[in-house]
Amino acid sequence: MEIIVLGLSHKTAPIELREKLHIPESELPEVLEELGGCGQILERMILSTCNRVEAYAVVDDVEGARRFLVECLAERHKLLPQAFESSLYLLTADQAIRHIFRVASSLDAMVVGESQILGQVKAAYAIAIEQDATGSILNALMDRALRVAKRVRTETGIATSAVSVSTAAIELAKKIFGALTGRTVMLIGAGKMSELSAKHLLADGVGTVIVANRNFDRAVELAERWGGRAVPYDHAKLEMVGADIIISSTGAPHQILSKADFQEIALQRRNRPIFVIDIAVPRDIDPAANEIDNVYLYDLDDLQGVVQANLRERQREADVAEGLIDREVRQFAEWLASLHVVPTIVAMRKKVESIREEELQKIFSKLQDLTPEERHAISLMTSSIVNKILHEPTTELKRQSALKEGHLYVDVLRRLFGIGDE
Amino acid sequence: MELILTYLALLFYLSASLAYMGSLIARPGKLLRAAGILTRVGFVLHTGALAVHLYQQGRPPANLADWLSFYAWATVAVYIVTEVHYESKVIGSFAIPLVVLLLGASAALPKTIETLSPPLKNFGVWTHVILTLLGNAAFALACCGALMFLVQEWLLKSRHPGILFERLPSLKLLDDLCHFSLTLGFPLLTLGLLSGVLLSYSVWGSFLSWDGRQIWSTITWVFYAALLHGRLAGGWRGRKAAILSIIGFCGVVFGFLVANLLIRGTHAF
Repeated sequence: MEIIVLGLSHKTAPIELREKLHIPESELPEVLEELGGCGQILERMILSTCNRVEAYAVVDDVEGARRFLVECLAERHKLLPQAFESSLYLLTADQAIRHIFRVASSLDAMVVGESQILGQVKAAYAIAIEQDATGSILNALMDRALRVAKRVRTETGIATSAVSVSTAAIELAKKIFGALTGRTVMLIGAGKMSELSAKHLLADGVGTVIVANRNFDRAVELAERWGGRAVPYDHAKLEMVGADIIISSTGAPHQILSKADFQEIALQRRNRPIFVIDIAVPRDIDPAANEIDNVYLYDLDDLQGVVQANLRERQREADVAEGLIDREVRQFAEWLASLHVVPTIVAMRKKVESIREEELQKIFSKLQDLTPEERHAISLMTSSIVNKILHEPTTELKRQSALKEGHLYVDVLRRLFGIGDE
Repeated sequence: MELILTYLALLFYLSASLAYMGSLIARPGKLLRAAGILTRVGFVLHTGALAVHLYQQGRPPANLADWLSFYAWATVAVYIVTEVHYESKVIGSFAIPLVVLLLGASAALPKTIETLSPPLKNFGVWTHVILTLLGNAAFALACCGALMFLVQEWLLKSRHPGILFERLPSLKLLDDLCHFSLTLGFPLLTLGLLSGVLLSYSVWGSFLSWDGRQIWSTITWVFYAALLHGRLAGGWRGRKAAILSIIGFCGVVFGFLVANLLIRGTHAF
């Protein structure tokens, strides 16, 4: 009995291949049922996201199960196994456990620490449970994986800082203004990027949107979408006095706002801070504007620098998380190993118990005139002898099972007690 | 007894400082909680020390060491109020080390006892002392907020914010904190000075005796009045206001330490 992971991810397969092998959520129950048809696969679940397609399973024969899984996958997607086999990885035992823990904790993600994956793992697990595709081992493993993921999230800083340009901009805005509720954002130029940033800002509670664009119709269209206000491009400078956050992304070939412009605006704003995001290339705003008090100017490179720094920080936190996962894997593997010895312990007890019963019957048939109380006392005594003798081997076996050579103890014990293979 | 309690309080403040400062670089959750508890325990012990002091001596602070101890105590009191008010414990990473400095200096200074002229042992003196202490404590906190503001502002301007940037509160909160402390401290100081003037009249028959302390207090009062006016009417905020708050506080400390050592008068200890 072995835990295995078979699959491919953004680390081993290009997006074209991942797309081809993706299994939509609606088809998961069907696939799980299909896999149930294989006698080798005892428990199973499928995780299919845009970054990975993986099967988690408890199997009897690893190679047999692998072949069956590959065939299933090939047949379903009408591909030849050769088309994707080289991208597949097969992990077993501790490696499989570690992989599942890392995936759930978002350590194996494309953007380390992103939070989506945990929800996807939960959903995949829920579907597997619904299909009755899991059993005691996979359930224990997935419950543990979800707990580990939660620990990683709360005990390390893996998911704290922003790792995209627009979330980094929002994080900076919050460090300037506190809450963003009721703030005014102004878009100069209405490109895709500024649209995206504005959407994020609105989701964070920004109150008013002002749009200035060379093409006024486009400005009106965007403003209407967000319940904002469109202003003629020539009035942009005037309107900036009322804006707390400015996102500039015009296609102008030269700078459109100088340091002096901002000096004037800062004065008119009576030193209320203003956060200026210049995502245009070439830049719209003179970088020297950042030198003015209460004007905070970030261009695209600055924001990307912040993102890079945050990513490095996440990587450092990820190293902490790996240590935590190491310990969790060891614990789970120990628990798993102790499961192997349980049948042996049960068999050993059964055997000794049957000897005791036999001998009791013999002695009772010889000593006919024993009172029921006396019989009971003798029975109790024998049973306590049995328990005392078996206590030491039982605990020692459990202890050894967690160690590398545990299976040797199981073998020796089985031979010494004459327990056959089941 | 007073000494033991003071040293214990100092020890707690010191550990709290370390925890607060640690929270700026390590994971803050548990450290900040611990720091909050340590600060409060220190405050209780410190209060005990001052209560013993008052019971034994029955008079307001009479030397520089006592003054600093009372000042440190008032600063913690005002800090705890702000911490609860702003639900931000990070301020402690600047405020509590300052308290440690004040109380540490107090513990290191000799406790020479100077006799206070008998007419000064009355209710009026207490009003004067407590009001000016609390007012100055609020200015100490404003200075902490201002320092944090400058650090955070510098990090933002540098465009390379790091872990410290993440831990420190927003500029808005820090500016608000400065403002709150100033608007709290200024009326207290004003009332404190007024009560001092009235006290002087009732005891000596003149409103001002123009000793170094009084002159200096008037200067700081005018300074803070101008700063507050600038904030409210002139839109001074952010960096400029922060720098002025720090200068103001340096003035307060200067008044405490230097003016009293050089100039002797009714306020001399």
